[in-house]
Amino acid sequence: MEYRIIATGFLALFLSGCVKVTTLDAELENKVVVEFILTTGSVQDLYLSLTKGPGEKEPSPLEDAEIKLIDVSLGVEKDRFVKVGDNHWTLDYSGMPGHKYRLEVSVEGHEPVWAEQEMPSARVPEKAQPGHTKSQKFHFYGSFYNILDMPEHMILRIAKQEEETGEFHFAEELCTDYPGVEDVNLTGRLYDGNPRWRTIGSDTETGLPVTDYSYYVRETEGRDGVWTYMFPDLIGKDLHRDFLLISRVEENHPALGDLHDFLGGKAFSVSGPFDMGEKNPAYRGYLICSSLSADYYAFLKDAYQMKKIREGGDLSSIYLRDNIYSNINGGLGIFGAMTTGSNEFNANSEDLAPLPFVFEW
Amino acid sequence: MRKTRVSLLVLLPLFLPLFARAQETVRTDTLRSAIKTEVRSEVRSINKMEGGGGIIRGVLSPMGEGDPIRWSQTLPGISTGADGSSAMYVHGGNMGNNLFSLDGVPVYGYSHILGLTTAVPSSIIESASMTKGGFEGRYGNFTAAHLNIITRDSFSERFHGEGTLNNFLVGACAQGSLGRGMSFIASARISPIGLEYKALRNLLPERLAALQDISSGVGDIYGKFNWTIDSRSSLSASALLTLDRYGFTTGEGSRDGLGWDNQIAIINYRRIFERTEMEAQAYVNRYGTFQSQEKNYHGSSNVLSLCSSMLEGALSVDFSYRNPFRWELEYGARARYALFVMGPPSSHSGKGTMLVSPYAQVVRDIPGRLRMQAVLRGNGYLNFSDGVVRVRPDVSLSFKWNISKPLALEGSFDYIHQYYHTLEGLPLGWSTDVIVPSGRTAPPEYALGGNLGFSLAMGRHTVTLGGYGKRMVNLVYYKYAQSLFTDAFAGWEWSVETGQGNSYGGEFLYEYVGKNLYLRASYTLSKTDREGFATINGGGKFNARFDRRHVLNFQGQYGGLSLALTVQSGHWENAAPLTYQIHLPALETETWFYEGINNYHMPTVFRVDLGYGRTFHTGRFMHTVSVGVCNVTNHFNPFMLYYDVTSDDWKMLALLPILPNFSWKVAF
Repeated sequence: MEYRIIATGFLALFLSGCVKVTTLDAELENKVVVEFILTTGSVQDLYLSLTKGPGEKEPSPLEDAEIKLIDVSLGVEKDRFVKVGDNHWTLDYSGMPGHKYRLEVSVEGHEPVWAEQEMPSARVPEKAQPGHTKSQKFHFYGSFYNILDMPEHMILRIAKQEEETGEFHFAEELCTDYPGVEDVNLTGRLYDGNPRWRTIGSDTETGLPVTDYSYYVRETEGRDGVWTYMFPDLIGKDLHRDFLLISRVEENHPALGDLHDFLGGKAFSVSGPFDMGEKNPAYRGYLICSSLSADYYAFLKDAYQMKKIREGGDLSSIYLRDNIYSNINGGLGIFGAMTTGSNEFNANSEDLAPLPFVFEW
Repeated sequence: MRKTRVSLLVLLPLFLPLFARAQETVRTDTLRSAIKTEVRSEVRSINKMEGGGGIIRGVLSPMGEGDPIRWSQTLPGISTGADGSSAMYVHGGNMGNNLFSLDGVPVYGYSHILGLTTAVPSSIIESASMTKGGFEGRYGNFTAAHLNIITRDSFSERFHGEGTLNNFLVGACAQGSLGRGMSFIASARISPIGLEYKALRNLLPERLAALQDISSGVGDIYGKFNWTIDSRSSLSASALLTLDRYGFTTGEGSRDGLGWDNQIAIINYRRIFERTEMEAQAYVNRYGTFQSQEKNYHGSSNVLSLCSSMLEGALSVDFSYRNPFRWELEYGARARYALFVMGPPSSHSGKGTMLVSPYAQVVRDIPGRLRMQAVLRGNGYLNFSDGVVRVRPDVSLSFKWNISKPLALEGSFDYIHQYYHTLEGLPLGWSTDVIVPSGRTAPPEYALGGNLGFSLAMGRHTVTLGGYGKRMVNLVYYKYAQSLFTDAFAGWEWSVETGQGNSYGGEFLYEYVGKNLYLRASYTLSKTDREGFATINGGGKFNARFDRRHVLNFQGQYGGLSLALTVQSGHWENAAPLTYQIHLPALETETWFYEGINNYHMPTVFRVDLGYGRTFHTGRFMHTVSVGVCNVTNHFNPFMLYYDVTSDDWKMLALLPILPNFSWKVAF
């Protein structure tokens, strides 16, 4: 009995002495977080907040701040931002492509923070050849684009607009064979070629002549007959959700050699498992290209990665030590810039339509 | 405070003394004479210290018996890893920059019983030496320190046996003659942790009801065959097999496992010519590690695992020549082929390397006045997987000048390369012993360093005081902790960055060897940092993880009583981040900001250990019993950090709370 008491006493002592909860609090000072993407839209949104330390449940509220946007190229200060909600300020102003801007933010009790940014020029990849343009039915599945003269960093989206209502419908999954595409928004599915027509078989749906369209035609295991595929070079490529985040690669990048040859050189394709419907007077299809500043691109890439990790149940995320990219001097967050343009999706390059809208991310 | 079942794994053996107290029959005390003999045989120098098997076993340890690592950790210039572990950081180098060798053969996984002791049984140790500068020519491929263990050769005509029992290990050792110049020594140890756990669970079923699924497999086997062929030649063959396997549950749906193992086989041939001695050696050495975590995190089942292994085979030949004018010349070469495998089991692929190192060493010894040593070694290295070929020289110089009888000036200079990297930057709670080969993206590490100091010997008192400086280049840092657990780790070389390290400091050692009293105090004041990793901390400086500014060790022995005290500045970990919200549409999430690397100072390590030992005889049996208490003040010295998925926070685990220990050895 005595023995048990001693042993139990030891056990209690050692259990309580062996483990301690720790917050690893280095007592860092909280920082000002600025999120501002300057666009060509008419109203600019800015989000301002504070970090919270390991021991804090909520960040300190931010009641007031002095925010200045200066067009450095013109040497003038724009109107002040107006607070419209918690952590949310707006400014009525459109960014000017090619101009350089400086953002200054002062929050009481913290050192002023600042960042500079240049609005990228509006550049949209030129179409090398639309998909299936010789078909009598202009389906809306994708196009080939020249690899030359691409923006340094960009986001590509595909949308169709109902001409009657002006409503946009965006492709929810898309893919490309351009090697600089980032994998921040993979859906986990692969492009299957979007097979639409059986060209040889008991039921020839379109009657496409096999000799002229051999590029599109494949015999496929498990399928009866010979089928025409949309962009067969993309078969097996990762599908991305909503957009393609792309960084231009060097001209000697080895993967560029695998792209399709056109008269004007190499071209990459953009397509997906969507069917935007026949080209109908009621619809116009667009490739929407947003040129991103390098800072914004770096931030987006990190932020999407972090969001994916945070929303998942991956235990290894507790070991991450990487910060999301920031260009805010003295603080955190991003001052980015984005200029958006578009091409009509199924038109030839000479038929470029003027941008009918300002796409705001 | 939340209790954890992990701790019990290492705490269970403390109850062993309670089971064993009936065996503490004390009759005589012969330890004092043993201390005097062993201490006086110790070699002291600023660059090198050497101890016999007795003095090494006499160091206080949680096992109740010292070992070469515990002995080394008390020496100046050496910073330890987490309290209770066997990690050593010498002059700012990483743990993997040390060479731990058994008869000259590297032992890469030298820790045992969660680091509480070494994989080499103390009963087979003849002597150990710790060299921090002025390295010898025949040993290469390291940049910090060399702990060399020499095993015993059994020459006795009669059979000797030895049995050992302590908190964590049960062992037996036998040695004897086989006749015709042949002899053997064999040792085996096994840990009774699993049995102790089961016994305790039967004893205290209510208290330990929550303890489940603790498993362990720990042991080692050593054997050596020695054949004295004639008066000029001898042959020996030896093998060491060690195993450490642990599994434990840290919460519901959460299981951890880790382990490592060594398999080493050595053949040595020695021959003496006129004035030249030749030694040829061949060895094969395999080292493997694994660690895994199965946890339910935020509703998802996660299995993270990490494995690495290396297989090394080597051939070497060394000649030593001594002329009548006290010049010594040593020369030879070692060629080693190594195959490295790392990553999760699904992506294992081997990467082979070859390292050939010829060398020459000259020693000029004028007894009582001057000793100088110069080493030049060439290294030719080939990485078969990426085709990289490197040819680099190593240079080591050292001297000891006896200015007067009690006062000597000592110094050393080393420019040396290492071709195997141990990855830094692995995440919290994961082992840091993943060894990878240098190659195109991670060139060989090299270190440029030196030290200078004085030693003063006056009667029973010895004092050494010196300073060192060191620059380390091409240290590697693993950047993407997440991909560590994916197939991407097999391509680790694309996820590392190289940078530099700097370290400087002063070292002090005082020793008193009295008739009955022995005292030793060592103190190190040092600063170690890292810099130049392009995307880590912006390329700026940050603290080396085990940059302990102050390290003080004290040891005292009087009669059979021993006292050890250690005070060390806390090491550095990555601090918890600031948290902030992203508000941009489509990106809304909460995220973190990490201020820097290794920016959280862990608590100071403070530990006082007490011990008492006696030796007595019963018939032809000699018994050596020691009892002690480790961490008498029960100071909380963190051993590791781990993430508790249930409470979503980090916890510190101490390996050594107040911990009674007991060791009983019987020899015949």
